[in-house]
Parts: sequence; C-alpha cells; structure tokens
Amino acid sequence: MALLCLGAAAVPLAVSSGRLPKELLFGIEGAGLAALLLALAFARSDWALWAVGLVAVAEGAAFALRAPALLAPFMGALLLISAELALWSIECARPAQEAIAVGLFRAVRLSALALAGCGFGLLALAGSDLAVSGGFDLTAVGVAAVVAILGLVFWLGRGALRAGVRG
Amino acid sequence: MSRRPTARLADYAAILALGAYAAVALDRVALLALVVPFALWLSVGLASATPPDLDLTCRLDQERIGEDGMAKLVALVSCRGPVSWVEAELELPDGLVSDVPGNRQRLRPQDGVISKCGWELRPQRWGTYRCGPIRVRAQDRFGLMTYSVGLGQPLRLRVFPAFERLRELVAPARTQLYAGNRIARRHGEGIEFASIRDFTAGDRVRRVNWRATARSGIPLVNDFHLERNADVILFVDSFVDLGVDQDSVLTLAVRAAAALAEGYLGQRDRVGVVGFGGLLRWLLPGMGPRHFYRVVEALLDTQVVTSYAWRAIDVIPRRVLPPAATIVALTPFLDPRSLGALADLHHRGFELVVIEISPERFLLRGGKSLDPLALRLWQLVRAARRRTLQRAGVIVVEWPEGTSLEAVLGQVREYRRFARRSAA
Repeated sequence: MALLCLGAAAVPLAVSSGRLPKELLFGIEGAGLAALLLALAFARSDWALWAVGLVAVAEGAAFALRAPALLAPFMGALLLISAELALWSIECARPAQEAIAVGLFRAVRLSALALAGCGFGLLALAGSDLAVSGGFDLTAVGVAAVVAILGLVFWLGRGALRAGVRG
Repeated sequence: MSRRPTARLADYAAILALGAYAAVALDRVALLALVVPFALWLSVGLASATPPDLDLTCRLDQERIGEDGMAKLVALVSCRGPVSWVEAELELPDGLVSDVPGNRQRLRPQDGVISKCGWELRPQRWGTYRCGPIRVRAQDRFGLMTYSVGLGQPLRLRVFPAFERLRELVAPARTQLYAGNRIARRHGEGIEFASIRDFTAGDRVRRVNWRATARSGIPLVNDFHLERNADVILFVDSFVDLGVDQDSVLTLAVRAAAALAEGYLGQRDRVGVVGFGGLLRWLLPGMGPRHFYRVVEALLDTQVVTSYAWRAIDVIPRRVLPPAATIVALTPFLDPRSLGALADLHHRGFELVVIEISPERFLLRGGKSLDPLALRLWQLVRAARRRTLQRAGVIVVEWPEGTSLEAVLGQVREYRRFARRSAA
C-alpha cells in the first residue's frame, strides 16, 4: 500500500510538471492490468486491490492530461466494478458452498452502488460547470469539502472499529 | 468476537484519499468524480457497519457409525444485525471428510431468522473424532469489516471399525461360574450328556436311566455337563505400529479384537480388553450386547504412544485378569516388552492364544527397497520371540496377508487338536 500511495502521489506531481510521457502512462495501466491478471490467477485479494489502484492512477493521469471529464464518473464506476468483481472471483476460488442469495445480494449491492456513484460523480461535474468565478474563497471551500469527505470516512471507520471492539 | 477490517477498507480509503488529493492539487474535478464511487461505498458501508449478534447450535444425527457409514452434522445459525453473509466453517480432524468444499458454507440469513446448514461426514478410518467447534464469520453489508467467533461445542463422533463376522471361535479351555453356552467339564444341571453313575439320595427320578438300570439291576442316573460361560481377555499390543491409517498392524489388531469380542459376547462369555503399550488401557470383563459397545469404544481409544519405560503385567489391575481366563493376544512381535508380558501371563496359568499379525506386508508396501540383510535379521529376531513362546507351550499362530481371521482361528483349533494328540 505504501508503494501504491507513493507511486500515485508521484503521478499528479509529474502531470503538473508536464513531464509524463504517453508510454509511461500506458505502462502504468498495462502493469495494473497485468497485476490484476496475476492476482486473479493466484487468487490474491491484496494484489487485486493494488492492481486496481494502479489502473486508477493511470486513469487519473489520463484525465489530468487530456481525457474528457464527462467520462470520469463512468470510469470510476467501472473501476469499482472491476475491483469488486476481482474480489468476488477470488472469494469464489476459495472452496466454500455459497447460497444463491449471497450472490444475488452482491450483484444488487454492486449495481446499486456503481449507479449511485456514477450519479454523484456526474453531479460533482455538473457543479463544477456552474458559472461561478474562481478565486481563493472558492478554492478554500473546495479543499474544505474534500477534507470533510476524507474526515467523514475516517470518522466512520474509527466508529466501526470501536463498535467491533465492543462487540 | 474478533473483528478485522478487510483489505477493501484500507485500499478504497487510499484510492479515495489519493483521488481527492490529486483533484485539489491539479485543480481537476474529473479526478474527484473518478473516486466518488469509492467514497460512496465507504461512507454507506461504514455508516451501516455494526457488529452482528451471532448464535449457533449444532448436533449430530448419530454419535456412532460404522466405517462405511455417514453422519450428518446440522447447525442452526441465527444472526441479528446487518450482514452480507454468514460463513460457517466446520473444523474437522484428519480422517473425517465432509461433502462441503472447504467445510465452509456461506449463508445469507434474515435478521433474527434461524438458518440451517448441514455437513455430511464420512470417515476414512475408525476412531473417535471431535467435530467442531464451528467458526462463524460474518461480513457487514459492504464487506468492510469481518467478524469472527468460534461457536458450538465440539461433538464426538465414534466410528466403529469394520470387522469380520466369525462363525466359529476358539473355545476357552476353562469355564467360569456364570451360566453360558459353553459345556463345562464339571457335571451338574445341563442338557449335554456326560456319563452314567449310581443313583444317590436326592437325584431326580426323571434322570434315572431306566435301560441301564434294567440291564445292571442297580439304579443308575444320567449325568450332564454344566453349561457355563468363559472369561476372554483381548490383549492388543500397541507398543509399535507399522503401516498407515487403514492399512496398519494396529488397525488389523483392532478389527480382529472387535470381531472376537462380538463372537464371544454372542456366546454369552465375558470379554475384557487390555491395550498394552506405551499407554496402558483396560476394560473390565463384562457380558451382554451393551458391553460390545463398551469394548469397541475401548478399542477406538487404542493408539500407539511412544514410551521407553519397561512394562510388565503387574501394571494391569488384578480385576482385569480374572482367574482361569483365556487371553487372546494380538501382537506383531515388534517390541520385546509385549513378549515379556505374554510369557509372564502364560507362567501365571492363564490360557494364552497368540495371534501374530505379520508386519512384513507393511514393510514391503510402496515398492520400498530394503536391505536384505537387515530384513533377514529382523525376521530372525521376530522368529526367536515367537519360538520363545512356542517352547513354553503357548499357541502362536501367524496371521499372514490375504488370510481371514476365521482361517487363523481354524489354525488355532487345529494346533490344539494336534497338541492333544501329541500329548496322548
């Protein structure tokens, strides 16, 4: 995870300096897909998530460079779907007898969240298209919103772990 | 209950954090839109994640089965709280297999509703097995946290060995006081004619042999043999074992002991068991169908325990070896301690029958190459042990590969007949 974070953190830096070559971009995505293939072959969920992370980094770099922004929510939903499907297939590789209801629930859950994620992504893009002039205040609000999202996730995660300890 | 965040939680959070950082740093909303599905997954998942209340009860449909039998373990799982699935994993010992892949079953229980899952258990060999506990895992609705707990008491499953049904046994030379099916040497009330003797006061008139009385002119009566039972002690040598699982000296000994126990108990004899090895086990002599189950359960616990302590028969409780008992020993003659114990038993006046389970078949399995000289020496040592007992007058019969126990017992009967003729 540390390597993934470092690599991913380096990409926006490289993009901002305009020094990221096309070959490197395809290289990262290709490596991500190859890693995903290996993870599926060896049924390793940790590798699979790393691989999806690599692909996400490549996608992010592409959007930062030139890809149309409207595709981003769909790409995000596809990334989520690929990650979940990878985890699902790896779990299926582990010998167990699974009730049909479990599979149905997974499919419904994934479809619903992917659709909802796509919708929220489009909303975010629509919000960014509003004719509001930029400036320090607006940037500060944007940063605060992002920090709030991360804070919310952190707070919920801590709460869930504590609840587990009590249980 | 233990809880553990899944890899999904950390990795999705990392992707979200990096996407958000990149969006702010590069001033591109598209990057934020890319990670919005992950943010949504985490937010909804973590907000709804609460530890579930898991409960499980399990039972076996039968506690005793034969080696070719099947038992069903049924578990009732109840879960309160939001979960995507509950997984029940049954811990099984070696030698017991289930029909469920990985012994894991994944259910989707409704809140508070009891779900049922079952495993069909098939044994690979005889023995006593502990099934369980069952490890129950549950994952919250979005797969971010896993809760795990071991539930249910381990259940004991006894797998009885398959054994040969014997039509004829080795008749014990001496009988006991209880009524049984064996013809005792002593005379008394019975149905088997023994001899004719003079009438004495107190004899019943119905026992008068009128023909003999008419011929001789003095009153004569028929005398009969008493019908009594015998005490048989099954001596299982468990110092050393050769072979693996189904195919080993100890397995053959246990199967033979079970067959003998069934045969003798069917004749209303009393049967006891002595497991003589690194760990001494015994069962007091008893009779009746219920005692058969006690004998087999005692045999199930027979196992090889390595010990270098010298053991003699004085470690066996006196009550286990009643006077005038017949001892049927099953031994491969691999350990000198069992030889010493058997010789001691013979010298103490017990009738001793030794069935030597030939261990050579297990040495040569799997195409192993053996040093011929070492093999010859080993065979000579075992032959010397056998001869020691034979010279002392003990019946020792070898049980070679491919021969039934019935045939081996036939050899014992033949040996006895030959010995009687020789003595005569």
